Amino acid sequence: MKASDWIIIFSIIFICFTSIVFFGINQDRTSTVVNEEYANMLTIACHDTVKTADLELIKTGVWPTEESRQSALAAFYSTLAYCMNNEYMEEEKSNHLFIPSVVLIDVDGYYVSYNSALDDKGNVYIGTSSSGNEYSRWMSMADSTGGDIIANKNAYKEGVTISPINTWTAQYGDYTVRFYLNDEMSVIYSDASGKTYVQKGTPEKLKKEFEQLVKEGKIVDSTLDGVAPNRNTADTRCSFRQLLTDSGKFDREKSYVIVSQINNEVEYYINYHNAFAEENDIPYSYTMPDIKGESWHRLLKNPTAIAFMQGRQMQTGKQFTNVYALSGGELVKQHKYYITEEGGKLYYHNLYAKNCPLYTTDCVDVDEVVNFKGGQMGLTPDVYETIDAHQEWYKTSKSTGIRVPISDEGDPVETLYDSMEECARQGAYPCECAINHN
Amino acid sequence: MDDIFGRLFAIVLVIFALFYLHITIMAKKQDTTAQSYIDNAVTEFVDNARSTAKITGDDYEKMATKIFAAHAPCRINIYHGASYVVPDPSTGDIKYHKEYYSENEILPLILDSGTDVAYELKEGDYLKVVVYNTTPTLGDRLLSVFFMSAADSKTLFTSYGGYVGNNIED
Repeated sequence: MKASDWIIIFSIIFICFTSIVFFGINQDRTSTVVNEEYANMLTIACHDTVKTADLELIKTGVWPTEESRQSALAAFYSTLAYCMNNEYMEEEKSNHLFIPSVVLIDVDGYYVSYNSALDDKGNVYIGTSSSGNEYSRWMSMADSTGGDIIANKNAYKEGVTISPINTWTAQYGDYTVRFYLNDEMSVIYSDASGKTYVQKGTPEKLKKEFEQLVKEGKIVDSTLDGVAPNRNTADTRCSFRQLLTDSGKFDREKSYVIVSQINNEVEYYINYHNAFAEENDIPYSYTMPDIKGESWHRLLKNPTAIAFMQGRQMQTGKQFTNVYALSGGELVKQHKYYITEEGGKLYYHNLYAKNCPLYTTDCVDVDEVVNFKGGQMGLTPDVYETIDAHQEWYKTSKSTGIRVPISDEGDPVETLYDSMEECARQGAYPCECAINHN
Repeated sequence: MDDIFGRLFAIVLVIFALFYLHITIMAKKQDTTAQSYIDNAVTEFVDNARSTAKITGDDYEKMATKIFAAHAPCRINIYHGASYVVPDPSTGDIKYHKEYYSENEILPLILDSGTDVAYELKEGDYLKVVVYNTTPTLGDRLLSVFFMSAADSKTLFTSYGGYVGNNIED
């Protein structure tokens, strides 16, 4: 054979081998990019969802009413449609079908929004007949996989349901414990006479109360050693007494209960979403992505929204690649600012700043402020009142070690600003501590 | 005679092509995968920092570990644009500015402190991470021999950033 023949043979073999590999890599790359796009869109939607939270109710629950939760969900779908560039378009109606559940995590529990538009045969309710007859119209998902999934724009609003509050509760022997996102917990128990009580507070507070109850003979000391069922390893085993006495164990147990219960709930609704797909021979399966421990820990510090989305599967050769994203929107700490005058010029400072170059000498530790309250600095009654008005603020500051500014006269700074814009409008320039908070 | 040389040439060419070219192209495709891996690590890091408004040592180490697993000699640049507002006496309104900090200021705070100290960001700040390789990848080295030119060192390049914050908490 001639050299050209060899080259032709080689080229054919080479192209056959490499094209398969190249195609696979390109598909993998494409699915990764699409995953990132989905994750970004979900993150933005979750952020907007969290923005509907009522921050005045941060201690009790930021979505207290059904209306507020519906509003949060509407914000989620509206933003998602905007991000997917299908707002006010036919495709907008099908967005929710790729989202098995949206979870609103509040301080006192969580709410799950799930797709209830589908009946047990996988049909979608699309409203009443246009001819005015009073019977419902349903459309089969199986008949419409190639085109519009829902013909009625309002169907998703009617079909998305938000569950009542789900609480994070676990049983430890005779004690039922309800956890919250903050450091409190509620305990339901019965005394020796069979009467049921509910006590709520921090573990430290409850520890004292239960010690008192044991002393008074209302409960038996050994019952405090009751452990939660189905905990087979030493790491996960936890008794009620440990919840009260060991803060590390309390934190781990709280995270375990919260994470496991949310996880189970989301998996249930993902499976629920899968059910109709299987019944209608749609080759499409939703799977719960693995969420790493630190991600959960990050998500569960403040009220948040978690959404799971799985787009249309991409075909890679004979296989399908799942395109999914799971994201959460959180509350970011707001910074407070105060204004001082230095050399005839106004400066604004970050209240949380640990080291302020201009105002360090006038800052005192929170413990000293507490001493002020005790009258050790000889403050006048009106200053006491000012401090009392800020008492909650000081308590928060004490736990985080943040300094509280005190003016030259020893008074706490009374006017706090929520943003740098407000300070600048007062004619103040930024101190270094306000620009960079480190 | 010509036929012998032709066959010999073809065999050498086939061997060269089968081994060298194939390996080269596979190595270049591996770069694509590495690029994708680095993109993921950077995106995760930046999104995490943007939503939590802080950079922790753990987060940075996790990103760096992933990047160096994909291609060891990489440069990671972090840019933090700290926003601030000043009054504008000429118009009576306010003006927005940014002061920039790099990894030289950020990393000592979160890595050298020995404690779990986070570098705090605030709402409105801009965070950007740029990653690129400082030495050529295997694919670049092999390709440079083929083209008889110097290998380009910046073939893996990722740049991702965004504004910090989404909501406020009292």
